Amino acid sequence: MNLPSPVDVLVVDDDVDDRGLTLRALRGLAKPPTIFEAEDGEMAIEYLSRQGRFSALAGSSWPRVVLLDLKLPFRNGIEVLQAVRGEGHCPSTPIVMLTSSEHSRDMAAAYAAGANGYVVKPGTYAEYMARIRLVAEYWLDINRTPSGA
Amino acid sequence: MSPRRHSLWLPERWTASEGWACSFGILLVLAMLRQELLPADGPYGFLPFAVAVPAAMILLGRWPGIAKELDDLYEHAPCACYSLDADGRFVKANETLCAWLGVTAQELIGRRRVTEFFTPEGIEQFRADYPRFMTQGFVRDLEFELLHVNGSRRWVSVEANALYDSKGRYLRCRSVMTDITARKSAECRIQGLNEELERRVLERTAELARMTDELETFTYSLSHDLRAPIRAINATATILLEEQNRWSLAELRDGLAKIRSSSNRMAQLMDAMLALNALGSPSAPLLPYRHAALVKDALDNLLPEDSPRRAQIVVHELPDGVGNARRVQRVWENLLSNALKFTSKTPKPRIEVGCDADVFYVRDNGVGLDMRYADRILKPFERAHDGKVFEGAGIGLAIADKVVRQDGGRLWFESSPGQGTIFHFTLNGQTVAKKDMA
Repeated sequence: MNLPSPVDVLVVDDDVDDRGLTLRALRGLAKPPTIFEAEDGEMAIEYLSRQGRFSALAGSSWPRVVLLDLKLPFRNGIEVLQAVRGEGHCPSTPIVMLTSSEHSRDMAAAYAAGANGYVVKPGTYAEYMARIRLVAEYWLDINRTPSGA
Repeated sequence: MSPRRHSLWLPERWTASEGWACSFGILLVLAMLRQELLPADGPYGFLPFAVAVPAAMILLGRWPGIAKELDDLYEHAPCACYSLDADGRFVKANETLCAWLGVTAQELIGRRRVTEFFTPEGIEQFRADYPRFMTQGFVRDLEFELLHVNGSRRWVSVEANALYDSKGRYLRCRSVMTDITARKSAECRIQGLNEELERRVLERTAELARMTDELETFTYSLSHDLRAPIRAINATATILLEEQNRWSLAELRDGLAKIRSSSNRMAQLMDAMLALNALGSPSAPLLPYRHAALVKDALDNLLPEDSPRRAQIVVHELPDGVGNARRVQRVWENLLSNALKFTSKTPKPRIEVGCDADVFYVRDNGVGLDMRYADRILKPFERAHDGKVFEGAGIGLAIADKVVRQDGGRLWFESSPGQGTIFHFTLNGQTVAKKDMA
C-alpha cells in the first residue's frame, strides 16, 4: 500500500456516493486541498493514531481538518472520536461530523466525544456542494491551529 | 309479644310481682335508713324487715342465675377473653380461647404461656410489646397468628387493659382476641392482586418502551438511511443535466445505472423497515409445527429450483415446536440468508442446521465476523462487515433477534474472521420431540 503523505483533509465516509460528492466539492475550491479517504471507522482510527497500516506516518503532521461520518462499518463516528480524543492523538486537529443524522441525541454524543463541529449533509446536490465548500473554507482558510499539530 | 329488655340484674325468668316486691323492699330499706320517715320504734317499724328480708332472699335465690348468665356471656363470647400474668402465663381463659387453641382450661390456666401458641414472628413481637404494655397499661389492634395444637392457624387482633394492685404493680391483663382471619385473607388477596397489577403495569411499560424505541429506530433510520440514496439520485441527475455535453455515452450510461441502483437501494431499505415494523407483537394462537418443514421452506425461498446451489447444506434432525410457525420461519430464513451471503465467496461453502438440547443453530464456514463488533450486528441497519463486498440492508438479523426475543428466547453467535460463524437461538415455546408428535 502506498502510504499517503500528510494531507489537508481526511474524509471518513463509507458511502461511495457521498464520499464522491465531498471530494468533488473539495476539488472545486479555489485552492483544492490534499485529501485522504477512509472507508470505515477502524481505518480512520489507525490513520489518526498512526498505527497499524499507517504506523509509517508516525511523527508526520496530522490533517488540518477531518470530515467524519457518523454511521460507519466496524467503528462508528462516535467510537472514532472516543478512540482518537481519548488517547490524545491529534488533539488540535478539528474533527467535524458530516452526517445525514439531524437527531439531537447524535449531536450531543458527538460533542461529548470531542467533535469540533456538526454538519448535516443536505439532500440536494447544489446544497451539498455549497455546504462542503463553506465548511472547507472555514476550517482550512479561517480557522487556525498550532502548526504541526 | 314485644321482646323484653334485659338488664344484668333482671334476668328474663323474673316475674313482674317478684320485681315489684324486690323494688318495694329496697325502698323500705332506704326509708329505714331515713328514720324520720319510718322510725324503728314506731308502729310500722317492722315493715322494712318484713319486706327487706324476703326481698333479700329473692335476690340471693336469683344470684346463681345472674352469675350463670354472666359466666355464660364470658365463656362463650364470640371473641377470646383471657388474662395473663407478668410472665405471659394464662391465669384466666374463656372456652372460646380454649377452642381456638385446642386445649382445655385445666391444661391452659396456670400452666401454659401465650407464646406457646404463637409463630416465631409472633413470639418476637410479643416479647417486644408485652413489657411496654405492662408499663403503659393498654394496647390496641395488635395482630398475631394463633396456632391450634393441630397446627391450624388463625389471625387475631388483641386489645387489652392492664390491672395493677394498690401499689401500682402489674397484676394481670384483661385481654380480648378477635378473629380477623377473613379480613387477613382478603388483605392477602388484595395484596396479591396489587402485585399482579404492578407486574402487569411493569410489563406493559417495558413493552411500551420497547415499542417506542423501535418506532424511534424506525423513524431515525427512515430519515437517515434513505437520505444517502436520495442524495445520490439527485446529485447524479443534476450532474448529468448540467454537464451533459461533457459526458460520453458510457459515462451517461454509468450515471443512469447509478440512479437506478440508488432507487433500488431506497426500495430495499423501505422494504426492510416495513418488514421490521410489520413484525409487531405475536398474537396468533399457538399451534404445533415442524422445524424441519420450516427450514425446508426457507431454503426453497432462498434458493429457487433453477438457481445453482454452491453450498453444501446439511440439516440434522430437528424437534417440533408449538407457536407461530410463520414468525419462526422468518428466523430460519434470515439466519440461512446470512449464512448463504457470507459463504458466497468461500471455495467450499458448507452450512449446517441442527438442534442441541433445545438450542437451535446455523453454522457456516464463511468469512466470519470480528467479535469486537458483536454488539452491533443484531441492531437494525448496522453492519460489522464491508458493505461493498456483502450487500444487504442490515435488517435480517435484527428481524430474527426481534422474533426470538418476543417469543421469550435468545439469539447469540460465535464467530472469528476467516473461521465462519455459528448462530444459536432458543424459543420459549414448547419443544416437542418428534416422537411425541406422532
